[in-house]
Amino acid sequence: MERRDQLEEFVRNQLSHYEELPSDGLWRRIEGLIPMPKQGAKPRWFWGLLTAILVLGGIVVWHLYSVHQWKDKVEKQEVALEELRDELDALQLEIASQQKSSGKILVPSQQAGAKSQDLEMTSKDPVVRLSTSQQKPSSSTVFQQKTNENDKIVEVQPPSSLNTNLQNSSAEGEIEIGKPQNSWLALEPIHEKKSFIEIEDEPVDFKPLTLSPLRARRWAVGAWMEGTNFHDNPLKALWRKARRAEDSSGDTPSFYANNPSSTKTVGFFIDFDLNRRWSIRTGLGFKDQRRPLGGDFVFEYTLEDSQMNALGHSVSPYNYYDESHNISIRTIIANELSNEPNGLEPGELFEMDFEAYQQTSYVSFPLWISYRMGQGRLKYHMRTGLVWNDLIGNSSKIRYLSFSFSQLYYQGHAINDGAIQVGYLDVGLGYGLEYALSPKLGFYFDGVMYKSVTPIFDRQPFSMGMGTGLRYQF
Amino acid sequence: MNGENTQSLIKKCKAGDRRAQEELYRQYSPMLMGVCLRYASNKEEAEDFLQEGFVKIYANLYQYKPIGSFSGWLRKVVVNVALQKLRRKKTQFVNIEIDHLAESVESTEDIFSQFGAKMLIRLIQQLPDGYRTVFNMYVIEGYSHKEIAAKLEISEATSKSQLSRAKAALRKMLEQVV
Repeated sequence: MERRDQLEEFVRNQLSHYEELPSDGLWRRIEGLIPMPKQGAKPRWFWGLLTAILVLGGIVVWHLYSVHQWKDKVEKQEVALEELRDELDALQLEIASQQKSSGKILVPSQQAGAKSQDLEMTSKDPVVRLSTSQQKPSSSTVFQQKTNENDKIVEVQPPSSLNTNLQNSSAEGEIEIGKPQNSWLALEPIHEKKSFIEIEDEPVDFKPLTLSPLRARRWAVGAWMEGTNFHDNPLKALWRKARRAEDSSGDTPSFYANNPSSTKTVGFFIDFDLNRRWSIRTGLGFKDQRRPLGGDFVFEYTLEDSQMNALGHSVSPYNYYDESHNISIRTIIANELSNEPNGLEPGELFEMDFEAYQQTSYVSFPLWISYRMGQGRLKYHMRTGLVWNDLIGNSSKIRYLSFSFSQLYYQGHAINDGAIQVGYLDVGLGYGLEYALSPKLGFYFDGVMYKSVTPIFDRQPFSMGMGTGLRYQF
Repeated sequence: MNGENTQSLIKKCKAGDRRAQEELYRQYSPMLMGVCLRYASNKEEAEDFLQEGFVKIYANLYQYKPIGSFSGWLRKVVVNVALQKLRRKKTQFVNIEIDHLAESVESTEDIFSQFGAKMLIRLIQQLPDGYRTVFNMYVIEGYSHKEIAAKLEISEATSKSQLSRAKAALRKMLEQVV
């Protein structure tokens, strides 16, 4: 047994740093086989970010195009309405000139197609009502003027251009664009003074079409919380199949597996609505991040192992999370066995539950841009942006394990080859629903994904999870 | 060579600078040749491993992150190339009977120390591929049997058995030479 250890040590000492020059011509052979450098080879996060930018860019272009089309349509409608107003003004002037010649006042009638009654019209208050009617179809718009003096209808031909515009009139005071129908204007005398209307003062009852929802700029505040798990590879997290990963050296570590770590964030935010659809969000959050350091494992203590291991103990742990744990758990167990008063017999199984985690706390400063779609109470939104996470606390904790904290510290140290960074930057993407509980208060729920663009420790994992929050709009 | 110079050299190599690539080769090829010689059965095969190893190094250099040591990364690439080649070669991890294999030959450290590294390499190269591979991985690279089993797609028991027999065979050869 002793000899074997000596042999291994001897070989290791002799050959670990053994060097020998290769043949002279080898470089020439290699030189001819070196591939051209990959121009512009970008890291994966770059392509993710580019995709997000392209998607958002597409949405922005689509939105701007839609708004442009809408504005164009509204402008055309406003032009049409303006022309209609002009024509009505012209009509009023014509009616006024008729009044002068006839000594009567013309006002719009209250009822379409109202029949004139036998009215006693005096020269002091002669009134004729101007009405629109669908019940008296006519190929052209006709003005009817009726007096109680001779009970005679005087037909007046309106300006030719009015025909076109007024064909779209559906009822008094309402104008519908693009809906052709037969209508006519009747000038009818009425005798009730209380219903007299001063034509000159009567405003045209058109509700102006505006883009007020898009012009609105409002503030909103709210509170949010998020829960995510982060992984080196989101596909692994989703499918939990890949237990191996090939690193840049082509190595295939056997124990590389998911290292799911939970992150919980709570915070508040302020939204500035650029318009009905776009808003910018910033705020402050407190993030709690936990990375498990162990798992359950079972090992078999064997005679052969004990002979081979320099410490006199060797273990074959299973079900750990990554290759780093292999080293640390092995060391811890070796220490534990060394301290074991009775020791384990060769071939004996040793089972142990193990749960430990490293806890880090951050203050988060998000900067998001959101785009809302849909109308009514239920809307859906997309958001993207950056979150800076500033480290404020770092500790290791352990549960259900008899090992001392110093051993865990050793383990934690072994795991983190790269130290925890003082902060890291995430780029995020979210998509979800927003429900208006009231005109001002909304509730949202969305799925979020982050990719750290600077390392958290020695890695830049993906995070996936859910976010929710309340939003109050001023 | 300090870290700064290494990083500068890596940067130039990534950009396709042929002089820098040659400089990298000059600096690291002796060390990597030493690794290849341990996995190969002769010098020609070792140079074959080294050649493919360097081609892979230059092709994947853009993936290298300066987290660990550069020489460690180079070594890892070359070892993986060697293992890949051996897998392609369909190395049989079977127990080969070696004549007069002695399990308990008296030998001491003094006897071992009479050998130089070069002689030791030549002896290791004479081991069957399977023995040699497991022996290298376990004794020099520091892999566990479980890791070796996973990498070579064999059982842990086979790995242990191959190691045990490799050591016995090597010891036997050492004694014969002495």
